[in-house]
Amino acid sequence: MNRLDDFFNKKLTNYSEDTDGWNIPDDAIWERALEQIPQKKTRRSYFAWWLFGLGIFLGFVSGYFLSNNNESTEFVIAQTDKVNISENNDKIITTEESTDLAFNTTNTQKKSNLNRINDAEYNKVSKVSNLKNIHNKDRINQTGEEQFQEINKHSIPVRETVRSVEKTEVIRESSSKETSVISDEFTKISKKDAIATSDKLNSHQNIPLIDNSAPRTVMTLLSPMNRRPLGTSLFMRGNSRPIVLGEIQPLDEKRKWLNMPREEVGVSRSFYLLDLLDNVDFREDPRDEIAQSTIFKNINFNYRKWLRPRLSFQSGLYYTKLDGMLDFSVFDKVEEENLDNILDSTFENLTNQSTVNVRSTTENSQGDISMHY
Amino acid sequence: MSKELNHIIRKAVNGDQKAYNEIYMQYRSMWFMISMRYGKNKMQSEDILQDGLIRIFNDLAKYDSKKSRFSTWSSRVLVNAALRNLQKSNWNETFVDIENAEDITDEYFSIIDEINTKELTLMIQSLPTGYRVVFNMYVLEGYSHKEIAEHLNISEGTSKSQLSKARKQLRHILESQLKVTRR
Repeated sequence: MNRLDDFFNKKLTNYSEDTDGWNIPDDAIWERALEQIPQKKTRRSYFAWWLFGLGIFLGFVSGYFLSNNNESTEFVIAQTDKVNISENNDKIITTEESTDLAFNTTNTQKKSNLNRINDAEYNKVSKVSNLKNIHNKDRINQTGEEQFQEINKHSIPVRETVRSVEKTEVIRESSSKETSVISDEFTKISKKDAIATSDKLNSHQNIPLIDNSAPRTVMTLLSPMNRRPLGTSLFMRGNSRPIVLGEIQPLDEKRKWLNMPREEVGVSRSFYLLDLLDNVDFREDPRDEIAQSTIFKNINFNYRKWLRPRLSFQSGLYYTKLDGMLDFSVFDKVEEENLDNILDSTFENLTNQSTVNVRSTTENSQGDISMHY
Repeated sequence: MSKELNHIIRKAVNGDQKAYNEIYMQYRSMWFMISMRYGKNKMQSEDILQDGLIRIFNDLAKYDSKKSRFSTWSSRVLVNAALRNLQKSNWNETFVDIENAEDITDEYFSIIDEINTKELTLMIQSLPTGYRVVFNMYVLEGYSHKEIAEHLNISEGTSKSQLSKARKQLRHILESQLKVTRR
């Protein structure tokens, strides 16, 4: 090595990247080279993926069985009595435990009919309720009895429930058909009618806030296959006085059904009819409502826009997994003049051909918890 | 070699592309500069680099950190790739003599020190292939004339001759550069 060699050696073995980038190769060279470098898969990585897949599978399987287990013992959740109501609503045919509640009536009445309360009817259904409670009570074990008693303190306002049921014409059908019927109907409604300006919605003042702290009864359309909510719900709340809410929760075309049972994502929209009970002034605070509810493995985030003192519209994104539900609503535009038509037609169509489940939801109960903010 | 680099290399050996990228980003400049010294122009240098990258990463499992540093090992792999690339062209015509190269005096070294790496690389690129290869291998990669002779399938005498003439030409180029600078 002579002096010239040292000079070159010193200068050319400094491999730091120059600021002008002259000694940085084009990325394309590396990309082309990478195409010819085999991407090896080691046994370890295969094994890791296999373990991961196994874990996921076991998780779902265990979740499924856990869920089924809980359903079989959650006397709180499911007041799932099979009741057949005749056309005249004057005769209770049967009361038995089941996961579905099928109401068979022959015609659908208008919303105004709901306001008529038949005292005799009320008495009959009250008897059914008592029988049902006794029957359930016999089933529960010693540990659950105290909870059952606690829940019974907030017994279901059967009178209003039955009155709401009167108007429904429900025919048990397969879940796939239910889904199809409801979906198509709501698609038509949502595209045609569910448009409004925010100004109109914001102009609704002096609307009291509903009391969400009270226990409630929810009547909703559930798929007999997997108990996913399909359609309408009728709320009933009992605090100092009973409050009846009507909910229409149709599917729309954006609801995506995943292959995994009891798992879904999408958008839900609901109408809440608050005028099923006459002369009840139950709202005091003119605020819209964002609610989160947790119903044993279900989480719901709902945004509710109050359109009238007794009418709200609710919608949102939701996610359900293993019978869980997550709702978040951003939809708040409905043309006010179309509301009656929407509500009537939606409610009728939803309740005409569906299986109806009744679920009793009670705050802080073991199997079915509801929290509102 | 750092434990971290060893870890990355192990991951790359297992086919982890992220590890490939990490190694590449760390050594790309060095590899490209070596490629440029062996290539006659940018295109050939890039071909050499690409061949070298493929060879380095395909042979990564053969690397033994106890025997050599990764930079040394990868440089050797890259040089071999460069030689294979050069052999595709007129390899037999590369080792020719170029006479009349003038010596450069010592007084110039203080001045040529200001010449940057990029200019020196271009000077080496301008050498005839035989000069360039032997000069790189002997001066910059540290091969002996015997090793060079074995690699290039030439005699040791030819290797020494090519080196001597490479030096002369580089001096000539440097002097020309200095003359331009002095004006």
